[in-house]
Amino acid sequence: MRELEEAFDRARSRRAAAFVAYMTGGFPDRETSLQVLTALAEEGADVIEVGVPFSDPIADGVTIQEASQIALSKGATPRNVLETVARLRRKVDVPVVLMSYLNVAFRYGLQRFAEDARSCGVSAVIFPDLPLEELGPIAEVMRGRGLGVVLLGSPVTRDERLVRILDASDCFTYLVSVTGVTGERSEVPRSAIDLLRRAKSLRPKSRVAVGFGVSSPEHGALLSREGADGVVVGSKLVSIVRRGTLDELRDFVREFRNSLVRSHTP
Amino acid sequence: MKAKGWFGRFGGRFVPETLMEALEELEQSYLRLKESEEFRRELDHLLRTYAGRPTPLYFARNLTRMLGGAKIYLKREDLLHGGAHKINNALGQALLARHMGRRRVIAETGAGQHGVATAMACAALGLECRVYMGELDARRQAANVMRMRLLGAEVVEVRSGTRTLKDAINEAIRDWVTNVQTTYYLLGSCVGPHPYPTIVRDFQSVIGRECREQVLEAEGRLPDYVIACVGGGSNAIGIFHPFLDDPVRLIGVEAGGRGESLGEHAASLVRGSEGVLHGAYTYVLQDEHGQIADTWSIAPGLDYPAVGPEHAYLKETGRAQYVAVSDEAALRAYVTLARTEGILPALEPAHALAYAMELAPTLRPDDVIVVNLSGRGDKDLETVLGWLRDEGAGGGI
Repeated sequence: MRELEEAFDRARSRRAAAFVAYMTGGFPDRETSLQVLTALAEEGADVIEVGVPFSDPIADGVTIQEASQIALSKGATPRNVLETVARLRRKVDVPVVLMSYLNVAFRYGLQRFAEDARSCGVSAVIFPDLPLEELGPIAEVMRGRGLGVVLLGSPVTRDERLVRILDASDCFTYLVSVTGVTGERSEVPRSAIDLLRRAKSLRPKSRVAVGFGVSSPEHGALLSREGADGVVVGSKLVSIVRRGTLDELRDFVREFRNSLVRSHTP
Repeated sequence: MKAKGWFGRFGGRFVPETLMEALEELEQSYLRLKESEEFRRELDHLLRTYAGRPTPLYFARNLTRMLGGAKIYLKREDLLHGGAHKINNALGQALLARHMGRRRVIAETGAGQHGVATAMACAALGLECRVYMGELDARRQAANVMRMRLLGAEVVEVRSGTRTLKDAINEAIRDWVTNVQTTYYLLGSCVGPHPYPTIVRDFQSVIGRECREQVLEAEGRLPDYVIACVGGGSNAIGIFHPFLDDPVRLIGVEAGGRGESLGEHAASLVRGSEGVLHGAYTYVLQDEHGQIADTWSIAPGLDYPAVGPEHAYLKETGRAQYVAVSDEAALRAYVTLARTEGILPALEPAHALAYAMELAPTLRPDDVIVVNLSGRGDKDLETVLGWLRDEGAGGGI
């Protein structure tokens, strides 16, 4: 977990929000997946979030649903996604957060899932279908194996509950920008800024990253200016990989990373 | 300490954070309304004057004689408005939605029975209704799509995943996550996150309460067996629940489909393993990596890769027993009931009936079996006639 906290702190020391780059594991296929993840890290993503493909991803919009289906059809399994993470970590020094729906982890066996994730170099896990109420026994297993558990906050989460989430989350809290699923959006919704401000005023010291719908450097700049410690880009990167080239991906990542640096003058 | 909403090790609320406040609000509203005299009167009135309750308990004399064993009674949920037990829950929840001030209702449907029931309830109560239905199901059940549209519902065909019920639920959940502040999600079975399995069970328990009184009146005693089909399991939990504390054997019959390998059936309890789908920890049909499997059943209403968590609990405690019956046996039961009693059962309860027909001859003539005839079979005519043609059976079974 240290390495994850340090990545956020390094970004802060260069007056920037940390760039958390999401990519579906095993997408577009197993070999290319490693190249894609490596490119994200080489071009300056501070944290890589790798999604374990699942057949029924209820928190995801069409882009990540389709990427998951493609990855599964190319033979992605939790085990070989973790192997790819291990290979990535041997090539580049970048912290990795694993995003997985709970069923995949249960089927794998929670303890073994945690052990294998840790030994493949994963720092923390995000379960999009694990709310605070059901956290206890699952977090115990993850933390017992040295993995952090990152929780999510939503625009409809009330203050009293948001505090509990911010306090219970390891390393950082993932703030969901809208009520809705993942997917590209044309602008940063008001609800994202409101949620970010609420979180920052409730717990000024907690690290928060904003995600869902973040699609352009302008979005990144705005969220960074508003005080986000991290910004997550997912669907946008996935659709570049689906429709574009690795060079386009590299260009976007560089540009996005630069947008997260806060300027000296307001 | 365990969070609320668990049946032993099963159930829970495994959903995105955005839905948690909504589930909490739903539970609070439900608990409040459940105790409200006015709400109960309103629902009871609708069930009697609109849905057609109480439904009769019918002694299937000819079938009983033909099988030469236990007496078989049928709980006639097929006689309800819409032709299935689904209206019990749809009316209850639509009323709940209205009391919560939600004007927009969404629902999922597989075969279309729950979609039709929800469209009816929303029309009757003046609510806006959108129904998600897998593209494959919409094609297989075109008549129900038309019925829903006539009833004023918007039907959205879902093209993701396997394009069947589970994907329709995924899409309904995604809609709910997006429109959570304005929308009521009217879930059609005793599945999903807490409090849905409890709410749906409570609204369906009217079946068992009536049935218990009726069988006591007809036989002067409790039945020996209560048998119901299980997809998600709402008609079964509805008829089982009022008998839980009685010395009555409860048997849930799942869809054995056309084979025992994954993808050829929909028998989550009999052949599945533990996992999480649609917000509940329960039995699911999945591959070795935790990907949800395709399912098959001749009865579209049983074609679902998971099951209500309370059934998982009843299986684990041994209070209920679960078995699987093949497509073929269900089809045979359908035709048999048509010939002997002049009743076309839906292919879903035809599974329960098929098991009862196997069991009855092994019992004594004074034993009593009740089968929940949860829906009528007009919707399945084409399937059944097609099977009869392929069998070359024509007239003779």
